[in-house]
Amino acid sequence: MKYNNISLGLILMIVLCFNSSCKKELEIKSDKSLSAITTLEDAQAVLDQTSTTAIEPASEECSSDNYYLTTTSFNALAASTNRSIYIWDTYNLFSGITSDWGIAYKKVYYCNAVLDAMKKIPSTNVSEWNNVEGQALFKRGKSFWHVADIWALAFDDATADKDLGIPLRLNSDFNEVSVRASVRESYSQIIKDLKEAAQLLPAVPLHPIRPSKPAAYALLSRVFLSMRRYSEAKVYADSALSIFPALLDYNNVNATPTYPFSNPNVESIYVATAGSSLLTPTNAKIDSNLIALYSTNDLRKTLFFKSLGNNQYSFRGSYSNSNNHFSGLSSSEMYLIRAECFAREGNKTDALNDLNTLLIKRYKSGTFIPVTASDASEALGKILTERRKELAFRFTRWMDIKRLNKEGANIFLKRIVNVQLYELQPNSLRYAMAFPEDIISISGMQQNPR
Amino acid sequence: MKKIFFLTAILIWTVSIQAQTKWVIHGKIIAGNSDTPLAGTLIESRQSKSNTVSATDGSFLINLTFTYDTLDISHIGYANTVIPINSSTKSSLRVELMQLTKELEEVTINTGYQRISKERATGSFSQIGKTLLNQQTGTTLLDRLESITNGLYFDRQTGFTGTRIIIRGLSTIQGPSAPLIILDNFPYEGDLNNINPNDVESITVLKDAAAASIWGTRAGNGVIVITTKKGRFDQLTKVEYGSSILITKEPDLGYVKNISTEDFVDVEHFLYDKGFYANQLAAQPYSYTTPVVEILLQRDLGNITIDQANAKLIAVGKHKLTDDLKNYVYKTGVNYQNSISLRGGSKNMLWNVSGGYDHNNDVLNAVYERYNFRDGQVFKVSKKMEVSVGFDYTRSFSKAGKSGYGALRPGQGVLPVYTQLADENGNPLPVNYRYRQTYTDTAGKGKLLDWKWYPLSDYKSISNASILQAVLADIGINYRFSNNVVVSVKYQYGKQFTRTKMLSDISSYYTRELINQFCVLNYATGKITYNIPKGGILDQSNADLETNNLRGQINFNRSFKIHHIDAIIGAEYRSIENDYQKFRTYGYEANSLRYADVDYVTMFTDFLSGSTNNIPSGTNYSGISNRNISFYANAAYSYKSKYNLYTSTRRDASNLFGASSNNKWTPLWSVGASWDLAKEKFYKVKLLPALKLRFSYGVSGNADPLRSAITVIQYNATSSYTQLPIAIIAQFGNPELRWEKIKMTNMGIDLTSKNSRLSGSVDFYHKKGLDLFGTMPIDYTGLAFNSVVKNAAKIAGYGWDINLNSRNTVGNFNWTSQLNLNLQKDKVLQYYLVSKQGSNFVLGNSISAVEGHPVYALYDYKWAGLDPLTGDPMGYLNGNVSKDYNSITGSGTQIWDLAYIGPTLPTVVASLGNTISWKHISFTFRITGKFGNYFQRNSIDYTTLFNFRNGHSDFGQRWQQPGDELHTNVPSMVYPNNTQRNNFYNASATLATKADLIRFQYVSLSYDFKNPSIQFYINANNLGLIWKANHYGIDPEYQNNIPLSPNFAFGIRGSF
Repeated sequence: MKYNNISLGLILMIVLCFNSSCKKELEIKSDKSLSAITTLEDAQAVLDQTSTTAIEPASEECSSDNYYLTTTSFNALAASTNRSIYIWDTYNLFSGITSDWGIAYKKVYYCNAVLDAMKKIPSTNVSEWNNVEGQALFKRGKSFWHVADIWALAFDDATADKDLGIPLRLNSDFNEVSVRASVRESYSQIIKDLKEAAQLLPAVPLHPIRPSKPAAYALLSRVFLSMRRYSEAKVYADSALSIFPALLDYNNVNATPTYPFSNPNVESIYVATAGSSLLTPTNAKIDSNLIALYSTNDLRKTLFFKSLGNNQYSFRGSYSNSNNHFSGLSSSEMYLIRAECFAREGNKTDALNDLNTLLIKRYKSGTFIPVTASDASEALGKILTERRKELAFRFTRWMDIKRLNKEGANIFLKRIVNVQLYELQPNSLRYAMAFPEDIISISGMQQNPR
Repeated sequence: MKKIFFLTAILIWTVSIQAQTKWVIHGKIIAGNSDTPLAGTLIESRQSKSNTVSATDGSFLINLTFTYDTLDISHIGYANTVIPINSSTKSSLRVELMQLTKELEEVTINTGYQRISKERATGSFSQIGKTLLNQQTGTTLLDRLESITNGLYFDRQTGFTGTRIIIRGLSTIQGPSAPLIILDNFPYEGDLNNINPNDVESITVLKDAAAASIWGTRAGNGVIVITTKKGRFDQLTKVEYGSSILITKEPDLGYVKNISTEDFVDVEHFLYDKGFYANQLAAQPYSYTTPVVEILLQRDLGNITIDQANAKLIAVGKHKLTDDLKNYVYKTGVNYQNSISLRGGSKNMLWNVSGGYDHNNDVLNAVYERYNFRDGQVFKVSKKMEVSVGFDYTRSFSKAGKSGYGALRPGQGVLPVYTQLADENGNPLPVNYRYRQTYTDTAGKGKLLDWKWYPLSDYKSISNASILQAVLADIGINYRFSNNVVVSVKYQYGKQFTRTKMLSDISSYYTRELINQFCVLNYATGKITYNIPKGGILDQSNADLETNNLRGQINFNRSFKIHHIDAIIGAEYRSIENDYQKFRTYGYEANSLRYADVDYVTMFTDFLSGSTNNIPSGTNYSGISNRNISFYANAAYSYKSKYNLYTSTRRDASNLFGASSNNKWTPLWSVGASWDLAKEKFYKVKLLPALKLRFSYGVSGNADPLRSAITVIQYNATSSYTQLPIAIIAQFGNPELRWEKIKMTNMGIDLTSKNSRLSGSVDFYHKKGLDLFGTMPIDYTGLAFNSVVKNAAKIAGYGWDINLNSRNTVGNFNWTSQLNLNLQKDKVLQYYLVSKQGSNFVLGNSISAVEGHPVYALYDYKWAGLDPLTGDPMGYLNGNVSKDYNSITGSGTQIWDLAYIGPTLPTVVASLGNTISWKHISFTFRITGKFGNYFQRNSIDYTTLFNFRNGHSDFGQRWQQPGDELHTNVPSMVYPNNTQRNNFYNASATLATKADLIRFQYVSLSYDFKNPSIQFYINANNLGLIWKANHYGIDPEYQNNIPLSPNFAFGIRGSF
């Protein structure tokens, strides 16, 4: 019996010893590089993972008319999905997490993970808390906007309630089933995210790779422009420019390097990039109609393009300083939006004023003759042309084609490969590209009508 | 002891006996050198044809009808003894049997926590003694287990890189793929190569539900307990030594099913003509080209004539890369192994000390050198207290060798099959690596460092060596409180350091290229600026592992009359700390220890592409801390040594992320019972003198180790924009995931036939898996990952583990056989998930979604042959023949539209070993077989052929003209390439192949001298296939790798 007591005592001792130190021991981090998002620094570090949060879909530019592929290049493309995108095929444009769908929604997930975590992070440092929250909202809004631009038809106030929009994932619970919102709901969410972000973000970010107040205004301006709500587009362009008016004088840009523009440069309100093997300098040859728009004294002709001989050109003017393209926001775009909106209001003077403010920085010193127009509608036409020239390979051409066709611009897109002609009619259903088939199969969402 | 046997009885008087007269010999069987009686010993008479078995006290009684007779006395683990009987034989004999090996063969099962007497065991175990282990030779231990362990299966087929060890079929593909390895008392966390096989006494594999209830959830893939050699009290000093040379043949490169060199030249020529390379050559003239593309380009540039180009192409096609690899890279590997061990014991102390030295030089000239030292002592401090200490030290040195087949991967792909590595005189030739040499040669106007890559000699400029030092020290105290209660505390400290130094000196390609890429050349002045200084690049890394194990345990055992209780209860604390650092030094010169600082912050322009990059810093830190706290208890009760009950239970907690669910988990448990039928009075079956029935049942669980209750981030770099740390989302909260639960029932019989001619065990197990994990593709709209672990299925499986040992002949010519036969079958009972798109299930990589099918089954797209007009592969869509590859490989095919081929894991695994010994010579050979499963044969994939130069020899059989479809199923080559067409063909039923095989595992020949005991042996391993079901020359276990080359060992081992 005595021994039994001793052993019982021992058992108790062991159990007690373990229990007291147990909890502490079990709370030690298992992987020192792992942590939950518990501080603002953690949240910021996730948003600063720019290989995810500042890489954007490229399908808008891939489907636009700024470039063409030779049949040889087309046939040599490794991914058949890229061939499908190029000819605006009805199906099999995207597949898997590395597709544009994956790129866009991975960013949404990162933002949602941060936004979910922010609810538990105390806002003792209010300005910093607002900054992080605002960045996440901005990046989510921007990602949603690209998704809507690619996979939904152009916003049309008349049909927006019944047009199929995009899945709006607003938290990080992946077990929720994806459902398609209407186009109106989709755009409302985008605007809501961006307006909230604009409230929260600082006027000057640490680096333009991070969203800022002018960035949120600039994107709101672009979104409203795509919705053809021009007065709001003008207000936000104006807000953006009031904080961020700087323009880069191309006369000061050295044309020698392979990629002449530094990243960032004084025009970069927000830095993001997108790339596709369709758009590499190897494959994408510049559309001859586009090249023809640049006059000899236009510095953009040499800074944007590289002549390959035989009247072939490739693009080198990315603000990302690489063969990836700049999909961010710049002050130059804001001048163009404001100019367009002034023109649409009939305000020719202010419209041309904005346009000329920009263009003088684009021509060789002493050669620039300010643009004139007899009336606002002529000014609008010139502004739209300049818009196309200035924003080549900036992922805005697709939304311009979509919205302008809604206004009767009647822009036909054509591709010729393997002696075959492919056409995209204005306002075709194919302006809303097909959702990835695997997503449709798993989630049961409705495919875009073909 | 010198004698194999002796009689203590001395002839005293002669009894005259008439023929026909029955007389009785009685006696007692004793284990040699002790007074322990040996029960169950078989005694047979040769003339009188009678036999008997000794009783519990060793006594026996045998009736004889002849005066002159011979008794054969046999007992497993003891030398057979022959006793001549004549009229002068005393009728009361005392027979001492000598143990076969002088060590006691393992009769207890070591679970790592306690030793269970085999007689009382209720579970299912496989045991390997050192004799069986020593039939193979080599530096590492685990490799030897494959063919000799019942129920253990090395899976090399099912889409996993490398090998994973599976015990009793597969429950899940999640979790650590390696089984838990226990070295003596504690889990072994260090490098398994540190264990010297010569120190191993025996190995126990725990197979039934008890494995997890003893060792916890980490035992999900089974437990392998390694017991090392120890001294014994009152033992004379004993020395064992061994020495061997092992020679490994170079790999058979002819096994590789590569596209022929001529065909590959033609393919590149075809692609060149189609303009496949044109854009790249125009826009990025520096980018990688192959020799064929270069010849065609020079032709088009007018630098060589068409005839010259054609002649060159023919010459290129005549060369085979594998020939050069065979001639200049691979050579015979030689391993030396030496070991010595001493052990002994006095009344109050036992000790063992051993040392080993290994030196390996493999077929690629990589060097591995290992020193082992091991030491252990146990002191009887007092009658009540025993203290044990142990110390184990390993130091190993490894140095990387040459790059072998498949390791040379230039420009996003493999070396072209026709690559020439050396000229006729064997001098290394330069080969394009990442860039095109004709461009890089002139790009720098002669100012750059040489930009040529010499694959044959580059390894000479890189010294990549690491030194590992590992220490294990342990101390244990056993205190006997009473006759019944022993309290033991054991503590083990482990530390392993690995220091790796890789110096790529200035002559290495890597260093030259990096320096060139980051240099700035002013073409006007010719001035060159090096952002990376000229000099070597030194990469150093340190990996430290520290483990602490503390265990407190109370053992209770008590016998009273016919009852016996053995119980333990204990608690355990384990900590594992991993630390890793890696850093880089530029401009390093070993002679002067010179180095230089570089600018990691500024982005520099790449010399060739013009893009901007940071200089790679090569810095990396990581740290893993694991803490485990466990409570466990188990108890065995035995009644009359006939009826045994066993139960064990365990509960674990750990600091793994999200592992808080561990605490919610009910403890793992198992129960068992056994019945020694032969001990019953009514048991009279003479044919089976020993017969025992066993039963066990238990529940174990498995959590996904990567599972996390919350979203987890990992800091992985510094932003090049903000210079602040950035993080990725590494794990995501998966709150709906439940534990995987396995219920296993085991029923077994241990038996020994008359004469011990046949002995062994038969186990039947049944397991039921609930909420099995499966990796499922998900809607990546909601997650930054495209698949998640989900509870996917409910399964059931059963199997037989049969182990039979037979003594086919006895006497001078001794022939024994050992058979392991494992049968297993499982099926899906219920599949939970909705998505059943066919593409998720083809090729057999995920859990089958069809109820009634094996858990891991091979499915393929149905095959409708080749289109006779185009050679396009044809499948089915909605029941009709179709070439809509996008739909077939996408949403158009559901799992029920696929062809079900069969299981991917073998349903029958067999291993048969035979040992024939005659006088001093012993000969052993073993064959293994795996049957009943299927694999998907590799074939031509034009996507990888075009983009990565990786072509299969099936290319030669491709459809080329109408009519070919009658004798081939290999699709035609089309341009532009269609990825889905290739995906369809490579996952189609035409490539499904039976995997059945019989392998000649090893053969061993030895010659034994007695007094002192010395054994000379020769053995050969990896002897290849004897038979295979497929006719394609494929070893199904090595479809993607070259099969292990045969090796031959010569050695000596002895003891005194």
